[in-house]
Amino acid sequence: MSSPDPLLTVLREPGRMTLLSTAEWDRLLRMARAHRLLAKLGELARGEGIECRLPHRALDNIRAAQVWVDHFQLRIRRELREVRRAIGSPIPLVLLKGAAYMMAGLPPAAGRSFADLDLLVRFEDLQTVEQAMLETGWHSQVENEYDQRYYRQWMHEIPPLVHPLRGVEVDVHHNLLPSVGRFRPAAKALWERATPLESNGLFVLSPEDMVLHSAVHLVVSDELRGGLRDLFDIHQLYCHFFRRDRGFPAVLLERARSLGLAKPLFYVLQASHELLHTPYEAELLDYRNFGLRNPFQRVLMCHLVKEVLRPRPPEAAPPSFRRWLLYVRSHWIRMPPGLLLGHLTRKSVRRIRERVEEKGGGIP
Amino acid sequence: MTPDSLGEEGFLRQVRSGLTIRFGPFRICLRSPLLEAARVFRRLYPDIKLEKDEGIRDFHVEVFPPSGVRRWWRPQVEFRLDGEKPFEPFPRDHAFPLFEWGLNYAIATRAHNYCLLHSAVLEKNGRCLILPALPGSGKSTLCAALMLRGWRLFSDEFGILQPETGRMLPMPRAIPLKNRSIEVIRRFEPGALLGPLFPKTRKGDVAHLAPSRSSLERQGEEGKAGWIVFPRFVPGSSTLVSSVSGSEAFVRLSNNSFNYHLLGEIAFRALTDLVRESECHALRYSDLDEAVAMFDRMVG
Amino acid sequence: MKADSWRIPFPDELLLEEWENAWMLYHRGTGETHLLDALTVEILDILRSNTLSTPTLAEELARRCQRSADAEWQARIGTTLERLEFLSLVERQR
Repeated sequence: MSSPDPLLTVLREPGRMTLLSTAEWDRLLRMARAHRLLAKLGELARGEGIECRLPHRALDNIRAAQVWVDHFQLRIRRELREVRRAIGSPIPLVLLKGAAYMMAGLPPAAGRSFADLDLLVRFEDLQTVEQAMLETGWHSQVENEYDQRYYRQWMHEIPPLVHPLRGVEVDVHHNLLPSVGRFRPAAKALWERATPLESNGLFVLSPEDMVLHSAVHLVVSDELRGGLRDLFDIHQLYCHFFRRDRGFPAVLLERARSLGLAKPLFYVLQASHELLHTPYEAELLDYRNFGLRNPFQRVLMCHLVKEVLRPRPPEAAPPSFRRWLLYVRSHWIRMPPGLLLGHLTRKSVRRIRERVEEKGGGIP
Repeated sequence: MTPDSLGEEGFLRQVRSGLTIRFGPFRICLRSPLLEAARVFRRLYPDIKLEKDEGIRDFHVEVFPPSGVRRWWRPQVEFRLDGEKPFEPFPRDHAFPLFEWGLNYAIATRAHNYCLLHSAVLEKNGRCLILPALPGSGKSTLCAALMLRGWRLFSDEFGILQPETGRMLPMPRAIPLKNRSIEVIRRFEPGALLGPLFPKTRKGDVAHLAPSRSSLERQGEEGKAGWIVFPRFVPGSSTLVSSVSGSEAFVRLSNNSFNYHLLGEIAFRALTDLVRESECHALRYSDLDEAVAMFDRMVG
Repeated sequence: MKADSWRIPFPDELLLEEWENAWMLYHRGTGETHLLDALTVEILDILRSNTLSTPTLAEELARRCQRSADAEWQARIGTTLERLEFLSLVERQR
């Protein structure tokens, strides 16, 4: 059942890096690279004070990955600075995902690269922000009028914006999930708990909302390749917030219920508990606290989410979304409609993006 | 153990199951069932030291025929790097150039612990000559000629600068000569060890020149900065050297680097030091013998 | 109408290397490298520790270069500042 998978082993217990043979390192480096966790290994080793005990060749590879990560973090920091300059400070911005981890100095940021800048603005500010950005040189990635309408009607974000000189995709959201999805937290509730950063006008989600967002995003996203990395974000966030506040599990649970996000949270907590051994408090592992009434669905969903996120060995082909759906269908499982909808929506947006890029409107 | 000492049969078997070699700072595991590619490899690297096929390999490279029905009517070969397939398949006959080219791609996109200049690099008396690759520079021809006249080959393609130490690292490999320069080098040194001609690759006709034996033997020895020379091949021109300002050398080198922008401040500092420690020149030439003589005079 | 003032938001982000006839600048804030002339380097040098309007800056520069701060000079400084703003090296304050 639990094969000695070197990647999971060191994610659970980074100190074990010193015990690996060079053959295991060879395997670990390849797996970590495929799951975009190579630079993360270096950060974990540094955290344990064992960096100097890693094999030189492993460190060379890890440092090379860290250069990549540093570059992408710099791009995002810079883009944020340009966005703030473009829209002026009176409009509050909530940073999401990578930018939030980075600017709030949270553990997931270390050794992790981010491709896009994700922002949440109040619905009433959406137009002002978009206008200011378009006037300062960002271009919409979606030119087709029909697609534009599709975005505005159904999505929780405006069509992505890219400044042609910098090429970073800025996703301006007004909510965390599409308006059509089954999970639809009220944006107002998120704003009420948002935590201000030192920097004027910048916020991040509250700890519980941050974990919830990350969890929901993982379940409805079709980027399976990044899945384990996103799961590790949640692992690190939880451990960090729990160390700061022992009452965090109760707050998280209560919040998940009130925002209607208990189900996806449960699946993700289960997966991170089983794969990464995240030390959750008992109340977070008890399905009865999550309103999951259908035991068949619960067991199967937990199994599916976990298996999709399990790291694949270096010799295996990359998994595809289609294969997952096949997998699902082969088990005659009807996914909860919300989940499936989430997938399909992301998928169609991706298709729109690809079409735009083919037309030459992509990143230069 | 070397490809030569293994004998052809033994070597082909080894490549089929996995061959670990060292190219400069990198350890590479190569696997291929293609006999022809392995034979070319053995011809060009007869004396390279083979390592035990274990431990950490920076690159796991596979050169395989793709699966699927196409293989029956149009033999092809594909390059796999740690299971990923970064390019479209090549015609089967071009397996060896694909391996060399693919490995360069792998290094350029991954080895960001080094500042990677797109240059030929050679060494004499412990100091390195950097020849940045610019269109019309004839850098491969020049590089081949210098190696054949006793300079130690670091690389025909990569200036590997270690930012922590400011040292250049060797990575001697076969030099892909293109089109007319194949004949030029044959005439320049009739005894040169060349591989087979690969006609009509993406870069035209290509034949590889084997790295000199001493370059391979000493591939662990680093070098200090020495000269940065921007060559330009101008038909009919005499051999002309002019000096280049430091700032210009910096701009041209950084624009010609594979990963300057990724490394940011690290590369800015490393290149600044490299240029400050080097003599910077521009060279116009048309005659290879004269150009080589000029470089030998420069070393003094 | 009050003239715009200029400043460098994070002076520590500028890394300057002097060459015989030019300067290379690495900007940590953007990760970009620029080739600068002497006048531009003077401007950055002054703005490192001051927030100044275009006319005041032009006067200070004219004093350093020992020339008069006439209209042509003012315009030249104004253009350079706008270029530096475009490169995100200096910031305008209204």
